[in-house]
Amino acid sequence: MDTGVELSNLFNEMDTSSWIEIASVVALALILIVVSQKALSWTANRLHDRPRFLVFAVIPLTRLLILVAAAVWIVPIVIEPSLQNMVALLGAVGIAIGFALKDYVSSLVAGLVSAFELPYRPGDWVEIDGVYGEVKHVGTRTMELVTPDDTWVSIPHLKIWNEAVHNANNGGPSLQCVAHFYLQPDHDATAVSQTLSDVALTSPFLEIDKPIVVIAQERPFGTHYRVKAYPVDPRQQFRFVSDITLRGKYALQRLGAMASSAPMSVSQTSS
Amino acid sequence: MSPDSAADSNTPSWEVVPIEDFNLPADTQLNVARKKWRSLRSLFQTSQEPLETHAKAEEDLRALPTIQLENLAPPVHWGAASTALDRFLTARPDDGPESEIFFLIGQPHVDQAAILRQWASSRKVEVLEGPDPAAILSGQWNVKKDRESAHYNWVIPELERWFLRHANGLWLVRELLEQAASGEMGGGIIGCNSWAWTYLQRVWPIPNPTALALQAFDGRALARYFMVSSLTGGEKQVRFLNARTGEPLFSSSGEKTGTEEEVSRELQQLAAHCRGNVAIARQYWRKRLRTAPESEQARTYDADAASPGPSAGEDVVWLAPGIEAPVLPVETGEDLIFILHNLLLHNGLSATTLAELMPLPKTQIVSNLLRLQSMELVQSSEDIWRVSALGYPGVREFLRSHGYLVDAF
Repeated sequence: MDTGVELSNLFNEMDTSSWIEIASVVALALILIVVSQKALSWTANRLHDRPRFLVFAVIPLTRLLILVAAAVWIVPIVIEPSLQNMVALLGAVGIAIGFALKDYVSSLVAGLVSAFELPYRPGDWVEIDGVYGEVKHVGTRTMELVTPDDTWVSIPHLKIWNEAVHNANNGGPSLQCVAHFYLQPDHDATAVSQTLSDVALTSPFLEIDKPIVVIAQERPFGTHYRVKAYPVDPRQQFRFVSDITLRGKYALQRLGAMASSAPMSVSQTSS
Repeated sequence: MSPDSAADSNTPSWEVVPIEDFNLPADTQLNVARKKWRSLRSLFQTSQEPLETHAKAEEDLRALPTIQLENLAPPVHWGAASTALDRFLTARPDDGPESEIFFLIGQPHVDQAAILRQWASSRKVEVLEGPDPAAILSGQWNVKKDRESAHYNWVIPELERWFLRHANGLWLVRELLEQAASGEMGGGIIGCNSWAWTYLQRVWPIPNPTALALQAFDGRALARYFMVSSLTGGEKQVRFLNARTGEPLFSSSGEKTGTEEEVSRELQQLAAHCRGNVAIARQYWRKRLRTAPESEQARTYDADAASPGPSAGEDVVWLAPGIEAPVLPVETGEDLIFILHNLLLHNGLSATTLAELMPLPKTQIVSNLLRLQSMELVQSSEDIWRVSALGYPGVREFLRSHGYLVDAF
């Protein structure tokens, strides 16, 4: 009973003007968040190269700043922000969260952390928990990405606590792509390597100041070549890989290098 | 008097310099701010900025007849540049190896091939022309070997014709550059488009190349060039007036009618916009020249007594305040970007060859070329498509801002 009385004493007396002020601040914060997110996203999508990613990186930080400003405004209206009051309030809130809203609040806190640590930003290409795609929106509780199959996936921020976040371009325009070629072992490896390098070098998608690497590896079924190169824009990655693959196949055919048939699995071999 | 000889009689505007000494003309602060504003405006697609108040309203002025334009701004004769190249090579100490190779790098629309052909003709050295694109792709070409070892005994006017941006299109230029750089071919001069030059640095990095270029034309050099050019065809002398201020720019008689500062401000902006490229500046200049009806001209001079009126036998030509240069929309698709980039890298291509280089069918490429032509960004001549002179500054800026490889000039 005493605890209830003490808890109720934490709060200031709320009159109508206080409620109106709180409602106004919340409404203003929501409007600012929506407008700033849309305006910054729209602007970023009209930019290219590094400026695009710089603007994208500002989006979650802007929202965080607006939320903090709104909280700083509202909290003194609701309670007297003394140390004693805050400890009592946070203790009560902590018990409620611990039992009922653990994951929800964990995502909110992870969202705050992600705004500073930047494991992903809008425009990044990430893989989390087996889902790969372009980050379209970093919200308060979740981030949303679009897979290459045009599926929107919403992932709670709490994944960053215990899942690996694979970020392919890490807030910049450089994203390495890999095209694979499987050849029968009997071929001129030097010529193949040079040809595959030229295939990448002549692609219109290529970011030419980034290195092109051709890696060859012997496998039981033949030789596995990997061509690693960077497109001008990360959004071109699939078209870039397709371009290298198609033109690479044509160039290798002209060279007389035969493609290897699909490697048989162990079960297929035994049967 | 030809423009070349006239130019030679003044301080020479044509100068061949090592590319390290190539200086882009500086832009005025006002124009830099204007460009930034235009760039921002294009990003947000707002309406056109309000027109400035001009001494001569645009609607009162008319485009010049073609024949008068040809007289006032005739095609660039590259003979003076060829002479400048010869001057540079002659002045150079003759202590290098006999198999030394020089590269002459030309910006788009600067015809380095014509310069080298004229130079080769005057020095009677052999000109090595590039093969057909089909011959490059099929591998049916041999680079000549065992040339006589002597200074400049051959010229390759267009290195961009020796390669294609195709997996089978680089072998020939590599072979050629390898033979040239190793001294097997003897001494010679290789002309190369500036975009191809930048690309080829990644294909076959040439160790310590001696690369030359025409020095950029700044505002003063452009004024001198346009003044001398206007002397060639017309019987009458011409007075050039700025339609924005009403002030004289210069007279074809060579008399300085405007202050140095006024001449340079207007033309300095043009030189900076065209990156010192005289051929592109000439196209902008032609596009901006206007005339007024005779009655209008008389009234203008009556109203402005301080400005000396045209004497008998003198024409007045107005320089319009500026033209809306063709630009690419912000949301231009990558198909159009690839076409423009390939055209610049090869200094012009046919639609058939473009189809070999791009991941697009020929029908789509032709459709896109026609679309770009309607936007005045490309032009076709004898089945070869090129980025237009008026469109080039905008296209270059667009490619640069989108992270594509651009030339260094």
